[in-house]
Amino acid sequence: MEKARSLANAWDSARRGDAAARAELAAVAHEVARHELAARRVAPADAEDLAQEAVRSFLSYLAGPGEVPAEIRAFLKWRALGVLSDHRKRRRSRAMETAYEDPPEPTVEHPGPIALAVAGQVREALADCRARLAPDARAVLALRYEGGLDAGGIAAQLGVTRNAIHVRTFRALAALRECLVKKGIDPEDAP
Amino acid sequence: MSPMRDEDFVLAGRFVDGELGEPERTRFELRLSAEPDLAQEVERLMRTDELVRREAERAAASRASGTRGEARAVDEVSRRRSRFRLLTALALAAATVLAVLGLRSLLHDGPDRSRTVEVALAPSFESAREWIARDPDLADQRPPGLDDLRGANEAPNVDARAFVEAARRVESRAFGASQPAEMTATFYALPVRATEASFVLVFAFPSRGTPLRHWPEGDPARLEAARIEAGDHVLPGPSFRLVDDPRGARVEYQRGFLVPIGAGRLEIVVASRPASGADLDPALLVPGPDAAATRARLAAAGFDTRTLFVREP
Repeated sequence: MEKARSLANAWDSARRGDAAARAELAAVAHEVARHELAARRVAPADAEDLAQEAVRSFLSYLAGPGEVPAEIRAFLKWRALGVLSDHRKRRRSRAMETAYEDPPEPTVEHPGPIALAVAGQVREALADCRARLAPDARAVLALRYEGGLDAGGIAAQLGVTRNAIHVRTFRALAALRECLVKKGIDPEDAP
Repeated sequence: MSPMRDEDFVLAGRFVDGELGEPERTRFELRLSAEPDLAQEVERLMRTDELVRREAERAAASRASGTRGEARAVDEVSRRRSRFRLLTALALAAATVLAVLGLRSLLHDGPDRSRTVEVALAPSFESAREWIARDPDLADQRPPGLDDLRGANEAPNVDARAFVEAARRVESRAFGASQPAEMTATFYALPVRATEASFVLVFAFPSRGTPLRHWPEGDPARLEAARIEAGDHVLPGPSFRLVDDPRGARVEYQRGFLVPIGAGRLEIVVASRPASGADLDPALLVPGPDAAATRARLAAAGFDTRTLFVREP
């Protein structure tokens, strides 16, 4: 609570031109972004760039007249995740623009036997849960993940609106999560 | 917990897919920071999406690796035989690097090297509107899709395809007579003109901070992305591209490379060589400790280099 109040004070001060308060908020934004990006397993080479992009984007908002967020830390977290979503989209669209002969080699990792066994269980559970989904949900997920299509591409394939695809995707993923949780697997902790 | 509405499913899906324009995304972020139930649902969606995508990518990589397994087994035999030769070659390469370091002033951006790639430096911006405003020919144009990006309510006044073509013409003007080698910007792009298929690598060295590889992107980088065909390109991509969706043709804005906060002055080394020679050595994708050492190493591997500078505002 104390911290939340001090961030709100810093926000007010920064908007009144206090450079130290602005720097303090930028540091918090950076810390929150790095934490969220690490939790999302963003490659180290990308993480700092994205964290800085999140900070820059946050400072740009701070400089404008936009409303003060109800929870500043939560806002910083979602700003970082928004930047990450944009980055992933850019990455996916560039991959489609570049024609290459062979997919990249998988990263060589040496997980221990327990990690391998857990990963295998997750893989099996995920395959089973996907197989249990309704046919239209399975089709949407297959086009999205194996077909590499975005919502617009899937909508064109299935002859429905883009918004309908977003709703179907969300519902399919919610059902998938519920099934995984019943099998004792939380997607947030899955390897 | 109140059930989510379809509108929120759509917003959440568009947020996760990076489809929201800036004002819409900000509004949604403000909601997420004030509505814990909604935030929890979106968090779960993102995590499940990440898990399924990770597994799909792993399966695809595993399939690709299987098809190449046989070829790799054959390669392994010859690789073992060539290890001794590799060590010798490395020793020779090290000697070459030292020699090149000594001759750096002669080789650095030397005009006598035959270039297959011409590089220019262009500013890029946080927002599409700033990009458009910088050019008098485009300043008044509002293509469809721009409203999505900036939340403006003005009606489009130009066809998306015509706008993208005009924007590409503006980008190709970067090859004009006076090409700046230094500028101030928060993002930058590199218009590149290749006379033949070439490998292009871009490294950035901040005055303060760790050296970065800007092109090819990603960790691990896709080696194939370093190869560009003959013609005009923009790295990391054209600032505007055409997107067809059910609403019709629209433009999508792509920012350039980020100048890191606190970088001070970014020294950018652009290296190129014809793709017709040997394959690209993955070791070359790792930047050296500083720009000079990196230039020397690239020159030893047959790359021509150009050095540009971007100052942080």
